[in-house]
Formats: sequence, C-alpha cells, structure tokens
Amino acid sequence: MASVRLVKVRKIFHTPRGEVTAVDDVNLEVRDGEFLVLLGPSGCGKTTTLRMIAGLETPTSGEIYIGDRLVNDLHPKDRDVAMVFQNYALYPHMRVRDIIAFPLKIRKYPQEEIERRVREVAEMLKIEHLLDRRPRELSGGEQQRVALGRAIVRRPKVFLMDEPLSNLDAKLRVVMRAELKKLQKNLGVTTIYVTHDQVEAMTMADRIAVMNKGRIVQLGTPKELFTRPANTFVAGFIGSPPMNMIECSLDEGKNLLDCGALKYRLDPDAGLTLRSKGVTEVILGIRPQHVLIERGKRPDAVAQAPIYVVEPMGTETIVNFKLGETMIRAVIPADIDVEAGEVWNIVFPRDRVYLFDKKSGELVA
Amino acid sequence: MFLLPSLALLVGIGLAPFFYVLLLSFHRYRLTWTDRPWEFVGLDNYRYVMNWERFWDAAWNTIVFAVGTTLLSFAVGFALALFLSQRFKGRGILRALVIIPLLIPPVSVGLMWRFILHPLLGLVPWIIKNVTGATVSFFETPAMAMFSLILIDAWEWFPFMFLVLLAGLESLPREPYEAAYVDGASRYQIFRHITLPLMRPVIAVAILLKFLISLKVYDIIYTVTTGGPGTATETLSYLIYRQTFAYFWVDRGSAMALVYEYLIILFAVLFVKYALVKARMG
Amino acid sequence: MNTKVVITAIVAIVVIVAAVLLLTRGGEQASTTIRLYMEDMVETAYLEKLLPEFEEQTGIKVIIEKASYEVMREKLISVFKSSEGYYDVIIVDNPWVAEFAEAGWLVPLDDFIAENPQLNVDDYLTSLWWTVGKYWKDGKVYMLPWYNYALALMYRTDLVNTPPRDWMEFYNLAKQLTDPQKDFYGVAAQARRGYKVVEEGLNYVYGFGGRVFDASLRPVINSSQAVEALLLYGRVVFETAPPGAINWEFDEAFQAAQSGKAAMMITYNWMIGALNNPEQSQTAGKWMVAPVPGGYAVLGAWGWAIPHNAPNKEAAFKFLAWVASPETEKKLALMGHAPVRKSTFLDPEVIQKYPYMKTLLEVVDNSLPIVPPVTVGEQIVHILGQYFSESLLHVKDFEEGKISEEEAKALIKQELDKAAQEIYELMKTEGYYEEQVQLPPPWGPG
Ligand SMILES: Nc1ncnc2c1ncn2[C@@H]1O[C@H](COP(=O)(O)OP(=O)(O)OP(=O)(O)O)[C@@H](O)[C@H]1O
Ligand SMILES: [Mg+2]
Repeated sequence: MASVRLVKVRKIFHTPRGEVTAVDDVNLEVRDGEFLVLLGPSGCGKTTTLRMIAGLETPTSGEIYIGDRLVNDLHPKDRDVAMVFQNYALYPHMRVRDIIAFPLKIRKYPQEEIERRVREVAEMLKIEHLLDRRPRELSGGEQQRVALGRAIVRRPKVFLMDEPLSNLDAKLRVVMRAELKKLQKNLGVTTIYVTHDQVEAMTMADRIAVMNKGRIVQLGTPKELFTRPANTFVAGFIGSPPMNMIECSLDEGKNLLDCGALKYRLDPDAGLTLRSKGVTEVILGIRPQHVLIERGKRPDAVAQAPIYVVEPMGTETIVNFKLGETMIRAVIPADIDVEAGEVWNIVFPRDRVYLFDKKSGELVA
Repeated sequence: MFLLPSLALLVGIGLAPFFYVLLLSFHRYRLTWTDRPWEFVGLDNYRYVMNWERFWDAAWNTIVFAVGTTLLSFAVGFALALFLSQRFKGRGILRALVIIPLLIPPVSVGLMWRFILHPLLGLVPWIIKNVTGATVSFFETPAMAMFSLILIDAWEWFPFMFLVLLAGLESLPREPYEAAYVDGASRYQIFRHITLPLMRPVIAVAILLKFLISLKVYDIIYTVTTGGPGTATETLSYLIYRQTFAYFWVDRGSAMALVYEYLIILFAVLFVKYALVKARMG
Repeated sequence: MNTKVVITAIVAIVVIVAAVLLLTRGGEQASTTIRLYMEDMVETAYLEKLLPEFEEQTGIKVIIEKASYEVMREKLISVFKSSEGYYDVIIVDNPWVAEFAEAGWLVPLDDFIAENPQLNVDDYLTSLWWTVGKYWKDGKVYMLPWYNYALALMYRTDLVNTPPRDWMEFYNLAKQLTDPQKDFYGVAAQARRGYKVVEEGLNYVYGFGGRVFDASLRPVINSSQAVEALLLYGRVVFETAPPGAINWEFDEAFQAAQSGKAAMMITYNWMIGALNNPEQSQTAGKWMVAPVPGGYAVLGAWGWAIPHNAPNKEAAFKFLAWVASPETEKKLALMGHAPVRKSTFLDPEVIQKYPYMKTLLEVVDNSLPIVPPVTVGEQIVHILGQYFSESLLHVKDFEEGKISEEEAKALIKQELDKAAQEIYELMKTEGYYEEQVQLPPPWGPG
C-alpha cells in the first residue's frame, strides 16, 4: 500500500491539428489507503491522469510518485497498480474465468488460490454464471464488471478505476457502490476513482478532487465541497439540482446587490469583504434546497414573482421562477401545494448565500 | 431468377475447363495426335498414376518442400514482423528493405541464388569456408539440394509472410496490451498470452496460403535443380507440368493434376476445419 | 457550351476515324509484314543486324518475337493448335522436329528447295541435314538447318599440351590438374539433371561405343559400354570437377572456367569465341578447342520452319530463301554465328577471322544428334537426364566408399535398364515398332 503523489504533472498531446493540453500542472497527494475520487466533466483529463499514474502515458513534465518512489520511467508492469479501464480492455480471446485469473496466473499463484479468488470476486460482482463466456458474448455492464473483477482480484499498491460503474443499471450501481466501498475499506488499498457522477463521488469518496480543463479546481471532503465550494465551477457541479447562480453588481452606497429583477441586501461583513477585495461584479449563489418561499409578504424577500414551472419529484417539488432573464429554482417539500402562475415571495437566507467574484469565479464570502 | 444468367456464366467459366480435364483423364490422348482420335481407356490413367512410384516420390518431395519453406518463411517473417512492428527510428527503411526479395522475379531469384551458393565463386560458401574452414556444396546430395531449395524459396517468400503478419499485428487492438502491461505481464507473457492467441487466425491464414502456394512450386525447381539430382527435388507440379506441357501427355497429366487437386482440396478442407475454426474459437 | 458534350464528341470522332483508318489499311496491305519466333540469344541479335538488308531487297518488314527456351515449346504448340496462325517463320530445336512434322504442323519445303537451287542443300553438313533437314521417315524436308550445337572440348593451352584423345586419358589428365587446395579443378563439368547431364554424359557413351538407339530404333542405352561410360563420367564429375558440379548448368561452369578455376570444359564448339573474348573471360587467349575425347560429339541443332498456319507463307518463303542462303550465312558467320554449311566452314575469309574453323568442322562432322528425330524426342532427353543423374548418385556412393565399383556398375545398369524400358514403352505408344525401320546415316550402318 502506498500514497500517490503528482507534482506539477502536465500532459500535452501532439495531434495533427495542434497541441492539446489534457492535464495542466496537476498537484495532488493521495494518502495511503485513501479513497480519492477524480470528478469532472467529460474531457477534463481524468482518464489521462489515471493513465499517467498507471504508466500508459508519459507525462510531458512533472513527477509522479507511488510511495516514495519516482515512477516516471517505470514500466506499467513494475508499478504494481491495478486498473479498471473505461473501455474495459478485456482480452477478447479469453473466457471470463481466465481474464479475471490473468493477473494471478502470470504471477504464478497456486492454482487453488486462483480459483478461490476468482470465485470470490465473481460472487461479489454477481457474474458467477458468466465465467465460461467470452467478452463478445457479454453485455456492456457485464463486461464492465469483468473488468472490475480483473482489477480487484489482486492486492496491488493502488487501484485505478476509470468510471467502473458507468454502464450498470441504477439499482446494480447502488449495490456495487456499497460493495466497492466496503472492499476498499477492508483491503485498505489506496484507490483513485474516476467518475463524472457527483452522487457517486459524494457517497464513496474520502476526498474528492474536482477537475476542470486539465486542472484540479478543488480538493476536499465531500462535505467541504458541498458547503464551501471554492468557485462557481465546483458550486455548479456539486449538488442537484445545481446551485442558483445570479449575476449581480454591488451598489456601494446601499450595501445592496443589484441583480436586475431582484435585490439582495448584504450583511455588513460581506459588504466589507467585497469592498476590501475590490469586487464589484458578483455572482450570487444559493442552493435550491435553501431558497425559501412564502405566500405572505416578507420584508427580507429578494423578490416577488409568479411561479413559472412546477416539477413534482415525489418527496419534493422543484419550483421555477422566471425573473427577467434569470431562472430561480427552489426545492420545497412535496406536501406544499403550488401552482404555476401563483405569486410567491422568495427569500434567500443570509447564511446560505455564497458570493463569488464574477471575474475569477472564486468564492469571496 | 436474375441469378440464373450469372450462375450459368460462372459454371461455364469455372467448370468447363474442369470437365475438359476430367474428360481427358479417361482417355489416351497426346496434344500432337492430330489425326488420332481420343481413345477411351476408363480408369487406366488413374491406375497408372496411383501405381507410379515417381508420382508418390514427388508427392513426398512436395510435402517436404512445402512444410520446410512454409515453416522457415513463417518463422523468419514472423520474427521480423514482431521486430518491425515496434516503434523505433529507421523502422520504415528496414521495412522497405525486407520486402525487396518479393520484387525480384522468381526466375532471377533462382539464378541469383545459384551464384550466391556457387561453391567457387559464391558468397555463402566463401563465408562458410572462411569462418569454419569447411567446404560446403549446396547441391551435392539429394538432402542438401532439397535443403537449399527450401532456403531459396523461403528467402523469396518471407517478405510475403512478413507483410501478412505485420498487417495482422498492426491491426491488433491496443487495449488488451495496455491491460496486460498493467496486469504485470512480461514481454514473453504478453507474446504468449496476448499476441499469439490474437494472431492465430492471421497466422493460420498466412500458413495456409503459403503452404498452398508452395505446393504449386515450379519456377524455382526449374531454374535451380530441374528436379535433380536424380529425382530428389522433383515436386508434383513440376512432374505434372513436364508431363503435360513439355511432353504433351495431357491424358496422364490430367489424371495426375486431378489426383493432386483432390489431395490439396482435402488438405485445405481439413486445415480450415481444424486450424481456422479452432483459431476463431480461441 | 457544355464542355462534357464537346469532349465526348471529339473523343468519339477520333476513335471512329482511327478505326476506319486502321481497317482500311488492313485491307490495302500497303507493306507486307512477317513475324518470326526465335530464342532470345546473341545469334538472334546478329540476325537482327542483317535484317535491313532483307527488308530493303524485298520490302517485307520483319518482326522478331524473342522468347526464352523454357517457354518456346508451350508457345509453339498453342500457335500450331490455333486456327488463325500467328507466326510466319519459326525456329525449331532438333528433338521437336519429328513431333511437329508428324502432327502436320510444318510446311514441307521440297518444292521450295527445288525452285531455289541457289540454296544448295548438298552444302549442309550431313549430320545436320539429317537432324534438322530431311525427315528420314517420309523423306520430305521440313526444315533448313540454322545453327549447330555440337559439343567440343575446350582446354587451357598453358596447362594442356595435347588435348586428350579418349575419355580415360581425359580423366587422368583432369585428375592430374585438379588441386582443391588451390580451388583449381580439371574440368568445369555441367551435370544438372535435364539437358545438361545428357549433353555431357552422352559424349562419354558415344566415345565408349554406346548409343541410345540401334538402327531399328530399339533403345540400347543399357549397354555395358554405356555403364562404363557413365561410371567414368561420374568419376570425372566427383573427382576432377568443383563440388556441386552435379547441379551445374552452363552459367556456373562457364564462370568457373573463365575465372581461371578449371583447365577444361565440355561445351558447345563455338563457345571458344566467348572463352577467348576479353570482355567475357578473365582467361581470354588461353583457350583452344578440340573434338571431344572419344571422337563422337553430341549434336544439337536448330532449323528454320514455316508453321502450317502461317498467315503469310509467300513472304515466309522469301525470308527463308534469304536467311538460308550461303551468302547470308557467311555474313552471319563473320559476326560469330555457328555455321551449318561446309562452304562456310571452309571459307577463307571466315577461316582467317576464326582460325579454328577447321576444328569446328571436324567436330560437327563427327557428331551424333542428342536424339534421333522421333516424336517423343524431348521426353527421351529428359528420361535420359533423369537416369543419368540417378547413375551419378551411385557413382557418388562409390566415391564415398559406400559401395564397390561392381555394385556401382550394377546399380547404373539398373538405372539404364529402367531408362531403356521407359523409352521402349514410350516409343511403342507412339506407334513405332509396328513395322521394321532402318535409320539413315548418321545413325544407320556406316
Ligand atoms: N491520445 C490522445 N491524443 C490526443 N488527445 C487526447 C488523447 N487522449 C485524450 N486526449 C484529449 O485530452 C483531453 C482529456 O481526455 P481524457 O480522456 O483524459 O478526458 P476524461 O476526463 O477522461 O473524459 P471522459 O469523462 O469523457 O472520459 C480531451 O480533450 C481529449 O480529447
Ligand atoms: Mg475518461
């Protein structure tokens, strides 16, 4: 078992159309035994990062350490990592049984042990009935579980998992999430887990590294990320439905945010912080779960508006208001009756409001 | 209905010569017999061929030759394909060089090698003499003559094997290799467990093709040994060719050609059934 | 304007005009063209140099199509068998003459010869005349001799004082000259299975008094003389020739001889020219020619013939009258062509240029065809070639001490018995032996 450390790692692909910077000066330390999730939108460089750690791509610059060892020039087979490939990369000519056994077989494990472990893994992944099939006789989800099986059958220093559950149905995914998490905790193998599913990230991770355009934009526990998103990108990426983001400008004299159709009164501290940092153009963020709505008039209401659309979700309801160009969403308990067209007061509780610098996107207050 | 005319054409083009040969094989007829009619002799020609020791000697020679040259050209071609499928500087030039033998006409290949192996003036005997002190004569004995023919033919054909196998290697999926690296497989293990099984269908086709081509060898035999010494390097197609086109005995030539054809077809069917089908199943 | 239409129209017009021109020209026959089919070799090039003379004289244009020896037989038969005909004049190797003549594929030349007394057929050497001239069976003439391939002995004058007169002497001398340590050998032999081993081995057989056929066309190649001859031939090949000579053809042997690695060589008599030509030989000037030891040389020869389906026989005859004339032959001989007429061999100008001409005359005069004109000549040469080659392998076993001389002889006898048997059956299938025949000279008595 080992930590994984990336120091100013950069990867530039040279294509006929020019250079693509897939990973841009990434610094990251994954602690020994930690479950770290790499979260980010498609094309942000997650797979590339994993492949560099596995040794399948050479970094253009920067250093990668597994434990204390610099592995930049180490062949993949000598890094002792196990990887679940996003495209499965199963051995097309082998039976499932042999695919899962392969990492053990080439390490010359005794036959009984190989058989035992393959059986255990197959049981956990619910693929016992598929052991004698070949990859092309499997569905995508089944192939994915085989790929997972080949990785977890052995005890490497590091697990690298590239969206290992993306192709499973919702029910199975929930089960597997739990199983994987349990396995990882039992084995204590350092794990880097790639996903662009924020629910998966939140439920499984010890810490999450959010990536965007080749950079890590925030690293922290799920809770930190949810409560203190470092910037608009993280704020918008984590949480569902996504955080309301409203462009405002600071009205210096009145300690007021002018957000077009709505006005938000700053608390004095926040106003001070904004001024001290010289921020005048602001993005106001508030999660839909924290938006309060009332039928009656309220002095602290930021606006009064008719309901635009109502989306019932079962246990809760999403209410959409349209204020000029901006759309504001609120999540309310399902037992409150709302109807489109009704006029409601909208309240942003002070302690739930995030203020971001519009220029840099960074959290200010 | 639309198929009928094209089917008739196909049958006409494909089968008419076959029926002509089949018909000939039941007659006594020589191409120079302009005023003697075909004489029906039943199975005489077949009986003759089946009992003709030289035919079976030639069949044996053919198999020895075909197996030898197929294995040798495969081994060399595959080794080079593996080597030149790796990325390194100068690979393109090496690849081009490897193909050269393919561009030389077979007749010139034979002539060229006769002089490369010339005991007094040839390069190879000269090298052997200077390295080991021994004088090697490449065509002195029946066994040496066969060996040398195999050597020459394999030299001419290894680029073909190389190209087919290289194309196969280049078209293999990359993912299983990456998976195998990460799984910790060594070079040899990757070759043994990934490359070889994935290449099996290509290898089977390459070997089948080369083997079938080798069975038809004529040019090299004609230019290098004319089947000698004695009948040591006389192959079936050489025998059949001489019988049919040099001596004009198209009757026995046809019977021999048909027997030979049946043997080849039998072999090809067995090969496809066992090697190819097995390769596909893994 | 639509350019496509214009282009299409232009192309169409050009094609139509061209077609019309071609067709009308074919009808007019403005100038006559004849087509020759010949082996691709230097002699053909000599002839090409003289062609303008003929074309000027007659206005007939000559196209020579050249081919390698291997493909000629196959090509000729496909031309003979086609109803159209393609070639007007061809050359034919002597083993094929009877076969083509009996099949009715060659035009008899008797009338043509009678009309052209200047051709003087009596001038042809007897051996050649009966080989590629008059067909002994029906007495008709199908070919005019063109070129001789009689075998002779080449020897290095700096190493050999007097050329050996018989094969034993030849063997002894060769053995004496052989020094493998120095990569030097007595004879550059050519014993490859096929024509080569027969062209060489039969000289020994003839020299020992053996023959392939007797005068009634029965095979006698299994005679004790032939056995002795092949045993000695084998000893020459394995004891005095470079290793591997059992698979040598002309090219290997010639290279060995010209590069100074051998003292003697049995080859076509006119090769003396090439061996003494500084452009082809490192030992030029050191070679002399003599009749083969044993006296009788193997003879091969080519002749001119006109295919039965020649499209333009009239012009073909004109060409034959020119190419076979003594005048043309003399001009060719001065370039290096191997003559077929006594008058050419004895021509002072020719002798002045090639002083050894008289020796060559002696060689050709005392030669026996590799196979008499029978309809399976080609196949007989190859039957002999196979069993001669097998016989040599027995001599090799003897040389290596695996068998005794007596055993070797017995085995050679067995091979030659098989050869004789195969030849006999083959001849029988072809209808020989149904009536008694008597071969003319040079096979017959005398
Ligand atoms: N071999 C390559 N050559 C060129 N560009 C590449 C290569 N591999 C990846 N890229 C580019 O690098 C960027 C990052 O790719 P990467 O596969 O790491 O994204 P990802 O975060 O894994 O995306 P996804 O969630 O869709 O799998 C993308 O823009 C991609 O087009
Ligand atoms: Mg990816």
